[in-house]
Amino acid sequence: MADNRILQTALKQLRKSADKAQCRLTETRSTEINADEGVVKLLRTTGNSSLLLQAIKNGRKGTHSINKTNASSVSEAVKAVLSSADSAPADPAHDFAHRPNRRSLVKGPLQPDLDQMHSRLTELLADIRERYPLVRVRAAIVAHVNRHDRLVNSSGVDLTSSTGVYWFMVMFLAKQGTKTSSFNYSGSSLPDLSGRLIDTGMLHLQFQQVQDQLNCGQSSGKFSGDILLAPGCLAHFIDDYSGIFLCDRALISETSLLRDKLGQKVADQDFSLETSPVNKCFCETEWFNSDGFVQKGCRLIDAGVLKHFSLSLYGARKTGRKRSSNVSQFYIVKPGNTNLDAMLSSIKRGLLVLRFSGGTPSVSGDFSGVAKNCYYIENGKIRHPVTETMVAGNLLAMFKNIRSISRERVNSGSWLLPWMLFSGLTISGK
Amino acid sequence: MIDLDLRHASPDFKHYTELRLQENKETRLSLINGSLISNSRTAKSGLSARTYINGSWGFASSPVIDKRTLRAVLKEADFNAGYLNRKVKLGKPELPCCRKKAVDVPEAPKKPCSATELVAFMTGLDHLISDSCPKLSSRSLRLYFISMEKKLITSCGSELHSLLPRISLYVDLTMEHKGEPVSLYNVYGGYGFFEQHFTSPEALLPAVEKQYQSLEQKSRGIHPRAGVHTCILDAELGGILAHEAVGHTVESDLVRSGSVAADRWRQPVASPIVSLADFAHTALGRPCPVPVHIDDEGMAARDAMIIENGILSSYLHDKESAMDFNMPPTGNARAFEYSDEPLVRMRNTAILPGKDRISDMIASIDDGYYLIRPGNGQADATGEFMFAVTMGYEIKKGALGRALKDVTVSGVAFDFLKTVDMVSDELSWECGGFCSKKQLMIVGMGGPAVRGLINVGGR
Repeated sequence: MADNRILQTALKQLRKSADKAQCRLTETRSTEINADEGVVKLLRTTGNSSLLLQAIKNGRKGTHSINKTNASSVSEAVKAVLSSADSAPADPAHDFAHRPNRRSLVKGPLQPDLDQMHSRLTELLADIRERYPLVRVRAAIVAHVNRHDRLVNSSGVDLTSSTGVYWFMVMFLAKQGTKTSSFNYSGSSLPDLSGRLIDTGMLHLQFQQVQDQLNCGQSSGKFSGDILLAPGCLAHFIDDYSGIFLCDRALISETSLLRDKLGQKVADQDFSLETSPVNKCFCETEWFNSDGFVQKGCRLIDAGVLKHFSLSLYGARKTGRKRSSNVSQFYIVKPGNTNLDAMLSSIKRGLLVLRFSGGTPSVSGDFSGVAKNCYYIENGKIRHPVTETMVAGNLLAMFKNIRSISRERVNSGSWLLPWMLFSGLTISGK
Repeated sequence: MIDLDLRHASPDFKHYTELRLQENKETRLSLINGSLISNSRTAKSGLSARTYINGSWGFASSPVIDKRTLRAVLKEADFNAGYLNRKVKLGKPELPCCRKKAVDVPEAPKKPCSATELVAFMTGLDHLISDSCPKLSSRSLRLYFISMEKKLITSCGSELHSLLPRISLYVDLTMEHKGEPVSLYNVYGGYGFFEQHFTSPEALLPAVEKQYQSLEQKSRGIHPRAGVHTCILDAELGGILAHEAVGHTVESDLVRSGSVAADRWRQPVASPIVSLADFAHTALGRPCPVPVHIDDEGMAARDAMIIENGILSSYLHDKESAMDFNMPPTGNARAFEYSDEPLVRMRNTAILPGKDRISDMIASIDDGYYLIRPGNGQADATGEFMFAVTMGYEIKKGALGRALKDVTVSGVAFDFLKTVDMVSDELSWECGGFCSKKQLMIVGMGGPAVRGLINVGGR
């Protein structure tokens, strides 16, 4: 096989000078049909390859990536990565997976069905026009990605995955006369195109919301209230939480306020968070990682207790902590025992938020931003959509102040999340 | 870049066609508290073709660069456009043509820094910061260099060879105050190569020490009061406002979807003292940070005066939208990687300078805020925007007061711009702007400082 020849050649060349070496060749073939402003406009077929070479020499590490696989390019890249390693200071934390492991995975449809992609996209646009006449589709894409990924290293790791997955994305707003709603978007990965795209995720609610938003009210003044986050919106908050408190950078720099909290309660007892890039519920996968390990699920927070940090091999060795069994954003949050309707009914004053436009939280976890595509809720009833409404809070406090978690969950193909209701946020209207 | 004469494929053009050969090179070095955690280089190059048949587009790309692949990519793009044309039957007319040739390749340093020298610069700067800034609990330095080299030919006869280099050094400093970490980052560098911006770690240290002093002030800072206040947005925040909250709403694809700018053509959208432009390559006689002479459709790039004395006066176009809107093309079609199709993108977006001095602007405010450094920002089709502000001061009785902790400001662009009553007399560009819209893109953002009413997040 061509990939084996390329990788073994590169590995052999690197091993002549390096103590440890690792090579990864990723080849992707994407087929993508695009609609702009509701009209199918573009068919795009792209090929790419990425050859990632890494070498450790006397504790010094270099990395070089090219997208060519011919012999002369590979030889040049080998020289470049060795030169890069020579330039670096020694750091004993650098390493690759060192247990021999030869495995492979094949998952999903490896070839696209172009006619079906076209018909599903056309059907989605027609469904939107018929059922949500005020919605305008800014862009919609149905795509298929075939990815062949192989990693070998000097310790006998040889991992191969061949995957195929469909995905779609739609970005939209509503328009009536001169009134314009906020835009919103949604996307999911799919194992096949057997169902109507409009029935995916929360699209019906999102389309309805932008239509409603043409007639907004405002939440006046400032108050401490509840926010009910939709699953897609929750994913962004979990991303921020993980980035600021749980990941390599936060632990290596020692800016994480949770750095000494392993085994301690850091969130509400109903909150359990795991990352699981190989879970069968997902059509996407990251079967192995860039350290050369086959990934497994990892429970980061269990019943509110911090169980693991999300650390790579380098992050773990650098900080003297345990390596996470995966480093990914394939989030799974355990469902709660409350129906979404009951959660809404329990809100005395607050917001139902489908999209949040916020700044990157500070290292202390403080955040603020605009609640987009949202409704104002009072005494358990949705009153009206609102605009120009800001929400401020602190991520650590927020996940300690969870009021309820829904039974219902949404699967995007790469995360599985419920609705979550948080209390004690500062909400301020204009 | 691997070279190939794209004109080999010209005889095979059957329809409107663009052929592009592109290479993006990147270098990343990252230090956290003195440890080099990233030391990588990437080169990505390839061929792409895009063809147009009666309103349907076909695009294809390959990382292989040779004559055979060139023809294969062109054939595949033709097939893709033909496939959609048969399915969709849009029946649109031919695109407007522009025959323009340009070479825009800045001279690279005669003696570029080696990998060892770059690492030595970074570790040297880190040592200096560690010695000079004793209260820091953490320091993070990240060097990012990108160069985009493109060769383009079109069936209209346009030819382009361009190189866009940019170096950015991100310095992120953290200290603790009463057990709470407080951070402040800054970006140094800009258009060009490392060697043109950074001579030695010592030369950069004064700027970082100033950043450290600002961080000290911020660590003792206050949370601003939530609500609408009279504020001065300094140049970088003015730039992000121009880009995010105005620029995106006038991109022709968003206009067509019904953005707020669609209904404001030739109407007042800002105070008469506000003019705002997307510059192609030169602003007020000086080169812009992201010069574009010919865009990726081979169209001559020209300045787009988006707002002229408060009146909405221009949208941003690619060839097709200019034809659809019956407006002059502006040359805003840009693609990030060889495997990306050109989209309507901004280039260098800024409010034009006014006549006020920043000191007079501060002195004019009895109770408000001076907002200086942005974090990230987002905006909406409605012009509603949100920007993080990572450095600012309160203004009390015409003088700067205490520093501010991180805060978010929001508003609606055209509403805010109508409240602008002072514009400073200097234009400055920020160093490291990227825009994300299906693809990444290097952009320039800048401006003067502006005074107006804005909603401050606060607590």
